[in-house]
Amino acid sequence: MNYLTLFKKTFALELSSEMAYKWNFFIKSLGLIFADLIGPIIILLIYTYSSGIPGWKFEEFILFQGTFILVNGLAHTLLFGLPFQVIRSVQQGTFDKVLIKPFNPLLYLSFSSIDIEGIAEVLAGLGLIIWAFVKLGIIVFSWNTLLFLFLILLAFVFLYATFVLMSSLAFLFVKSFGLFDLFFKIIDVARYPLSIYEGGMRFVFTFLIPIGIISFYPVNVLLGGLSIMTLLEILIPVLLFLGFSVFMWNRAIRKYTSAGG
Amino acid sequence: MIKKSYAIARAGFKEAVAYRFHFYVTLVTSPLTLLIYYFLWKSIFEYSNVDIIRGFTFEGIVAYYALNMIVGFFVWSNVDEWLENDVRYGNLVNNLLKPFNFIFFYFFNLLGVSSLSIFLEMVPFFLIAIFLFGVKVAPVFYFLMFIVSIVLALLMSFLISYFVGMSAFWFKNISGIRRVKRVLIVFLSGGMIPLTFFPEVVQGIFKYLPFQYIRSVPINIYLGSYTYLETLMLIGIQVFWIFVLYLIVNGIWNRAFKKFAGAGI
Repeated sequence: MNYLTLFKKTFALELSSEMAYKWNFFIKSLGLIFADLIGPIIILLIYTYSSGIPGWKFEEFILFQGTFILVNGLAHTLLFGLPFQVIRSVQQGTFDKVLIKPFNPLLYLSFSSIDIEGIAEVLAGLGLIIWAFVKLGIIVFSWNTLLFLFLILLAFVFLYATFVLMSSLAFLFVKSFGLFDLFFKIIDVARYPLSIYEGGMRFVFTFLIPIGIISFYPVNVLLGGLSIMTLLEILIPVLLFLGFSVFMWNRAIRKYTSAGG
Repeated sequence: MIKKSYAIARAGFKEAVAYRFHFYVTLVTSPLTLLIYYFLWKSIFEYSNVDIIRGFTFEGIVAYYALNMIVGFFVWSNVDEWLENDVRYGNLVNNLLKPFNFIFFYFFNLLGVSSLSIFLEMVPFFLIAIFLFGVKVAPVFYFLMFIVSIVLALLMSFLISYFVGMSAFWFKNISGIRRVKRVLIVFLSGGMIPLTFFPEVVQGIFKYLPFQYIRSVPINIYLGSYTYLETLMLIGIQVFWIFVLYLIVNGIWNRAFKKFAGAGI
């Protein structure tokens, strides 16, 4: 069985478990879309009574938020389960089962972490992006759009790295869901453009935890193009972050001692 | 009765102590969240080049968000989830054996959790807000009324959660309904943006809904936005809502309970 089959099977399993409570799934998804749309509503209220965020027109900022929601939605759908699976299985001592599977443990967990409700978030993000594309008259078939898509992919990689790091830390230090709050709050920083932050905060989130990739850089590139130098500036911190996460994961998994073993 | 309530609250307190790591995390994340709002509004105020936006100065809006988080710690209520689990997995049966009214049991349990939050979240974050974000200590009258008001807000938040939680008797899995409720209440109570940012018509409608009394009203009492008389009247309206919500909850409970099958006995 290869990873693709694993992915398909997990998807089918997820689907049938959600369908056990169809109405709940429907309301859950609606709730997710609603929660995501509150961000843009607040932006609308802010732009009604002020000049808004420096350097961003209303439509541009909706594009920004739409991208944030889309990237998070993709991660929600495909990766959310990863850290939760890790914590749960370490707590219950079932992580051994993962280790004896004929897969690489990290890849096994990565391909079996589907959460279908995340699709609602993807749709909400896409809706906002399409609205902004039309309003701003952005040409769909252009190099900038292609680069935009590439950077979204990179943003997905960054969130993957974040989730891997989250799981490793949970492994090493605390077997608690509280740790996740910390990470989700850090990702929340990316809800607004990197350019509004000052001082140490800006430094940390540009170089150490490059959250700008989630929405700030993709939208900037879409609206203003990209030079090779900037591309490297964006690419290198993300790849370093990914490398660090995988390194931590390997350390963490070596430390694992089976509960009750 | 007092002895019983104390015992339940103590159990809730102890349960929360077991999960205290969660509280420590909020001590790191809350200043970060406040920093996000701080920089967001700083850039908006500078860019717009005005001193006041919808009744708030920059310092005022930072204080608003800081207090919003303090109130949020206190009025947080997971009772809908507790109720869902108790109904779905049949634990309700255990509680049936206990010698007190259900609503009181859940309330004092929640009160225990919330009182731990006073020490681990509210007071430390209040100090952070004062020393790092320049939030001012309110005059005695407003400070005391703020405390009265958040206790009443906790009761309201509890009753609304309880109301939502009771839908578990009909729907079993209510994680979706709970999510909608959570987001809706935070948004409508002024937990995302001050309610003055809504159009006047919408603000008018909010006056007749209970939500703004959970966050916006206590925060504005602290900030001294009302006269003494207005403050007392608003507290009166909170009491009125608690009474109404209690009647609704109690009425539905009697019907809901007939639905209970005691799965898993």
